[in-house]
Amino acid sequence: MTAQRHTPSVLLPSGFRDLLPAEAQKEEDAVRRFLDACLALGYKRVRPPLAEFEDALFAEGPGAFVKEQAFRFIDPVSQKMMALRFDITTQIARIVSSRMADAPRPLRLMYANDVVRANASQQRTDRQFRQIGCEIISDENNASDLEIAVTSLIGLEAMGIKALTLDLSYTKLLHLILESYGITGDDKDIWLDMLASKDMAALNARPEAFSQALASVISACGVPSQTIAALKDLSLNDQAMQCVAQLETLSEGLLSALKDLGLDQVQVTIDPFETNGFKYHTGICFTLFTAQANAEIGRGGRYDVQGGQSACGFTIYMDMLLDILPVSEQQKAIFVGAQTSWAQIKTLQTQGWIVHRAIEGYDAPEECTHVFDNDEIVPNKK
Amino acid sequence: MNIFMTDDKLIFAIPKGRILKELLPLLEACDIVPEDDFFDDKSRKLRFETNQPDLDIIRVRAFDVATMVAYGGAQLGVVGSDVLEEFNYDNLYAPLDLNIGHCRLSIAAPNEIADEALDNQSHIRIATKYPHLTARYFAERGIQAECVKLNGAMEIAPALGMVSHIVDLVSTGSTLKANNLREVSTLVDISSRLVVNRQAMKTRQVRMQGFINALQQSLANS
Repeated sequence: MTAQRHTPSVLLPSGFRDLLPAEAQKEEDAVRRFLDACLALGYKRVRPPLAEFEDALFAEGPGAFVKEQAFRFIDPVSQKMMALRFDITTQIARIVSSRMADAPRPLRLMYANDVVRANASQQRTDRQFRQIGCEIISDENNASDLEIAVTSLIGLEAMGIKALTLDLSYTKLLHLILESYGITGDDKDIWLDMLASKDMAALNARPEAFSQALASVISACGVPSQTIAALKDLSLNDQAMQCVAQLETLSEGLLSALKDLGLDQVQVTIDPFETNGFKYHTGICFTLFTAQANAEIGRGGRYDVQGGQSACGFTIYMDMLLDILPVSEQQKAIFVGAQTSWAQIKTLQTQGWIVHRAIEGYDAPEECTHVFDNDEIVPNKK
Repeated sequence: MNIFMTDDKLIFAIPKGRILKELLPLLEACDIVPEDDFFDDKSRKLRFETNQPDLDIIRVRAFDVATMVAYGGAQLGVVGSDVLEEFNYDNLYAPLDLNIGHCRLSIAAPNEIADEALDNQSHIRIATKYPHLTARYFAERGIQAECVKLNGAMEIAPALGMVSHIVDLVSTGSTLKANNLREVSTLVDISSRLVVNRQAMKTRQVRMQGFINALQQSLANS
């Protein structure tokens, strides 16, 4: 009997997809390796709900900036507006400022759950995907900034992602640089645009003398020592200089940590003019890239949560990694007759076999390299 | 040294046609010379090697250059600022104005109505290849623009009664004249830009910046 195919009814809404066995397993294995690596650094798992009242999801802090990204609907019970989560960071921010407000700090949390968003982007067409990440809730300090950046790379490495780049940026510094040169008001947006798109043509066309200096920072962007040197050449106010020093400390700490970890092949770069997507962050941020994928694969940084607390964290987008995750190792499989005892099956499993029990009318599946026949393990001849 | 910086080739997407002629001397000045097939009109190849072992050139339609680079198919490209403004990709950097491919994007109308002030209208029908840019331009002026997307020969659309105005690229204005149209005003002045893919800029920063610097140098000398 062949199953009937009703093609139109199996089509899913754009941005939603089925992960079939090979892919689903690959994702699951990678997430497990990621969580194990973070668990070993003291991060504790939380699992917030799929949907919440929207006023909680869109509260101040991270949530306030992302309202237009959510699927929203009315709760039939309370008649209040609800939303599907589009970002787990906003939920963590709610948890740590309410239920876990009194939990001892520093608080290390991790998560790995699906999110749903209303609008896909050009590079990322999935509207449902798994978000995995960690957060440290503590006072603002360099140690947690460093740890969260290192943890993101340890996690990606554990998942088998190669050719990584971590790109540091600092929105606060960018604004202070503009302030140092007296750029305010409407003018500021024009400058932010020019710097964000690295538009050296527009910069060179500006009458202001310092536009050349900013253009030279763009050319020097990348290698941390070069970028820091270029930033130090600018005439900045004290506050901005402090931020540069902070970036320098973090990038140096990061490079030496990666050396310790044997992860020297990870590239660390600095782009002080990067603003892409960093709306709610208050401290140093970073974006994660791999040469294997055509869009960023994750990001992190410091932000404020409700009640005057500070947190830093990172999040990785599993939709970006699905195609490049290493294929799960195939465990050897064996076919056993229906009369084989469950005790025997258990024994085979402890020997490392995946056991396929016979079902009447079906032959041994192809993936079974061996057959359990007369208490003996023999090769599957088919 | 990072293995992935020299790992695979950089792809440079350049547009066919008019801009190509102006671009070649610039490339030559920074020692980029495409293989012979590139100049052979009969060749069906789309991808060409250059004298630089880690750089290949692809030749695509002007509108597709931005898409190719934004999606990471190519790491570098040459694209008119018109295309950049129409698509507004956030995955692109546009570091250099190449000072070639100059033209303007203008509104034009049949001679008989070209003098009528646009400000008095609340609604206007326009044929264009640039619906987003056009709608945005008119929205800023409080005019509802209904754009009919055409891919070419929009000059004929007013005479056929489809639209009252067109928005199209103008360089000499002779096509407009031949179709009894007159330029009403300019939306934006256009020149070609070097665009680079954001990921490539982050993950292969040294090589990419080296390329940009070389091109900037040859621009300064030209």
